[in-house]
Amino acid sequence: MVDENVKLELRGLEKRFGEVRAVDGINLSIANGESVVLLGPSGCGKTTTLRSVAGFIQPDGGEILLDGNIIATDANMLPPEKRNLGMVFQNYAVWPHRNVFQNVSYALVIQKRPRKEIAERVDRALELVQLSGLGERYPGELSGGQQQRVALARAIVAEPAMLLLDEPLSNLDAGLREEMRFELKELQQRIGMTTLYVTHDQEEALVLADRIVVMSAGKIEQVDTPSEIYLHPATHFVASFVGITNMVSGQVEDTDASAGRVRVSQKLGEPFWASGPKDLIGQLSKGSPITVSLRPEAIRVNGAIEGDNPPITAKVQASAFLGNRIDLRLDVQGQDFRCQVPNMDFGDEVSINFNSDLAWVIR
Amino acid sequence: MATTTTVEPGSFLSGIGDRFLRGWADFRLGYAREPMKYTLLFAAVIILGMLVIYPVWLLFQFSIVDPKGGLTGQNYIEVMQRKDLFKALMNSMMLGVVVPVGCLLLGLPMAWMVSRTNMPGKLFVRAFAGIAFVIPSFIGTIGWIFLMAPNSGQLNKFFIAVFGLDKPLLDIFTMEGLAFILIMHFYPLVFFAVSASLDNMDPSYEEAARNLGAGRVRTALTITMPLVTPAVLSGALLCILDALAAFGAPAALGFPGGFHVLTTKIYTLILHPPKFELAAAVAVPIVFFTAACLLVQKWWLGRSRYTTLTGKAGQASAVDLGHWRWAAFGLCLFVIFFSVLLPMGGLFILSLLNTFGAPIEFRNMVLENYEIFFDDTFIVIQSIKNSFILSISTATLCVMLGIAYVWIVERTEIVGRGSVTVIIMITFAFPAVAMGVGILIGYINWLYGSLWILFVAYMAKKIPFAYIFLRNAIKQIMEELEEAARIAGASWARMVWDITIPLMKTGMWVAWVLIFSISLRELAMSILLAQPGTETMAVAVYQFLDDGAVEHAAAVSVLIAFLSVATVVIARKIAGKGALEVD
Repeated sequence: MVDENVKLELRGLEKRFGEVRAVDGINLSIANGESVVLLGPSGCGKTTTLRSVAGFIQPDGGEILLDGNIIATDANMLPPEKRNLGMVFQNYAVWPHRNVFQNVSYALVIQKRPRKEIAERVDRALELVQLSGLGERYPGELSGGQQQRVALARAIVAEPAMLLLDEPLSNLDAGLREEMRFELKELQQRIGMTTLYVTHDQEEALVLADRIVVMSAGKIEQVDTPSEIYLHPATHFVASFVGITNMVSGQVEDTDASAGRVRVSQKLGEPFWASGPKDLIGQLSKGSPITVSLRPEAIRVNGAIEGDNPPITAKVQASAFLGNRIDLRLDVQGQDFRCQVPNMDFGDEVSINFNSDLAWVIR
Repeated sequence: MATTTTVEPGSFLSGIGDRFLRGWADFRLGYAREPMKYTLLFAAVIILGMLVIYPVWLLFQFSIVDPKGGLTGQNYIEVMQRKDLFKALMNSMMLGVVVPVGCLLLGLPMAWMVSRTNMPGKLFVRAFAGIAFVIPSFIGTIGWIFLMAPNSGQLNKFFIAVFGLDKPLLDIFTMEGLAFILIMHFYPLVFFAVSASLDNMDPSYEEAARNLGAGRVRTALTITMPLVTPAVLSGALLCILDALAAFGAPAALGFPGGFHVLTTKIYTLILHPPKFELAAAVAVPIVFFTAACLLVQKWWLGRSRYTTLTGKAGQASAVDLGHWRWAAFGLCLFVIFFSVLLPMGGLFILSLLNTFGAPIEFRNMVLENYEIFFDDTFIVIQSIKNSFILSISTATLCVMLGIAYVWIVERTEIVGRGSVTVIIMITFAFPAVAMGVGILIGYINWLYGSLWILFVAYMAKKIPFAYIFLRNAIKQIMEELEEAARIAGASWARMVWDITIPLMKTGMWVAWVLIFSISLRELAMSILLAQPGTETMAVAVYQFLDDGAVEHAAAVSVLIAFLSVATVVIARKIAGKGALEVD
């Protein structure tokens, strides 16, 4: 059952380090040309997963398939050099004793390509990463950002089956990091290479991914598009790890399965409506405990009441001016609440309100 | 494998056996994946076993097994009962106490003056302390014999002439003379260890104490002293071990002077008729003592209290000695004079004199002693050739094997890989004479009389130097640099060749030159293993000395001293300033 469109497939991947289950039964398939980001805190198993795909770690269980061929199980594994992959490392790993050309051309030299072809392809790769003409430079003469570009050119020059990136931007300065995000995105779209990317930086993940895989404690929490991950988190962990959110716990008062809505009674004020996955709402009955995630930007402060949710009164605890917005920290019946307002036009007490579409029920 | 909580007899051994089996399983698993890599690594481990485990095991075996193959304590009993061995033991212990004390008395104040005061001529002092250490004590001894032999020694003649003494003032052929020479060559161990520690100490520790109101003296006693204590102790420990392991100087003085230390006793036990089992029974306790010292040091240094020492180095404020700084320099100059200038000057003049006792006058100065370098009726030409062949091949193979060992330890997950470090450090702890006896017993039937047996012995004893430098080197290479090569399509061997070796080049060259340097002057093992035709330079010196041709011994010694200093200068050039002071 080889699916032409599937590039990489992980089936029940497992890896233990001593007693720790670093990767605990992961299933994932990545389509041709897709950009998938593994996102999670340090120690969640994302790097172990990536290094298993690269061939530096042998799994203790499960299988890894590349282009429909098994490349690693607990018994056999194809060494890294036979996998036809490109990889960009966290510390660039640009070889300091080789100049840019020698770094980038390495894979082609090993493949014993004709010298002319090597020169052409290296030129093209350097052009793609905007380093044309720097072939003679040594890494010591380049900035961190330029070294990262060399690493990228080196990884893509041989047109590998897949590109792996292990926190490639984490060593760059904040400004450069932001710039490189978009460049990487653009590059990925231009060359259409299947990409597996590891990061703990949620913004990076949101920018770069076609799909994000949120991981925690060796397991996958959710696999979805960036907007789904952000707007409709499947679990507590996803909701709190990706972006800032307000969690409100309460009980089911009423359900409206056809509209995917549920009415929640909680201690903040009058019961309100929240939306959620229909299959989940179908299982809920009156009185079931549930949690609702409310993004700060979904909350309107002192505005006209929208939808059928009642306003809630809140005390202002603190405010922080952040240039384009003001962050408010509210106290609602003893619970901390975060929200954003455009200007300082508010008093000690505010009235908040939100649309039921933007309040999301979590399992 | 169930883990046992109670300590049962033999559980230690079965633990080793278990680890051995798991390590073997790892090798087989690795072989299935990467046959070439694991074949090479496995071969390196086998060679280590042949070089180290096999002779060491035989040494132990000979000391506790009787000719019929039964266990016996007879050899140890005989060793303890023999008066001459007991006296040698006493002498060795005397050296083990006096030498480190003397080295501390010289090395500590010098280190403080060089690292913490405004004394002039610091570089000069460092350089000559380095030379004192690099020149083998055996070579220095010949200079001292020229100066302090009871009747013909030039200093004695000088004192008799000037003060009208009726008998010679100094006699170098004594235990006191030996201790003096060893102190003059080993004090740099303390000096360099402590001055490096003072130089690397973050000055903010001391500044913080000053800032809180402690005076200079109080700061020195409560902050500086405790922080350099580990360096002081490791320097002193090396002095003890080197004093116990010294062979050349005690042999050159002790045989004519009629006294022995343990190492020279081991040598005489090997001479006809060879008593291997007694030699082994003398050597084994030294080995245990040495290993125990190193373990205690490791345990002591491993205690976390001293881990703060690796702060960032900075410029500590120098103590202004005022006019005393010239007195300080005078003191250092005094030590340098007696550790390098006087004995080396004596050696050089001796190498030019036409006869040993001749007055130092220009008309007695000749170059004919140096004719031995061109006359193949002497063993000199052959010995130089042998020394160079041995040193070049030892250095080359040690570095190659060293790469395999540091790879196993730093880059694989093979169970039991830590034992590679242990085995290599065993050979470091082995006094050269003891290692020589082990190699002799182990390989006498196969290789005796050829250069090969010397080569095996050199390899076994010098591997730690390659290991230490290469391990430092590979630790500085980020693994990602190597992984990037694999991902790009390079096999393991190709990656080692393209990435690892080029990045370790400096460490490899330093290790190569140092091993070359110490092999070039090796005496303790060579003297046991060399046969007519396979003598090395140091053996040639020893034989000239033994035959009473002291001027000829001096001429070859001048060459050895020159090569010793030159090679270390080269190593320093390669490594860059300060890189060699880590050890």
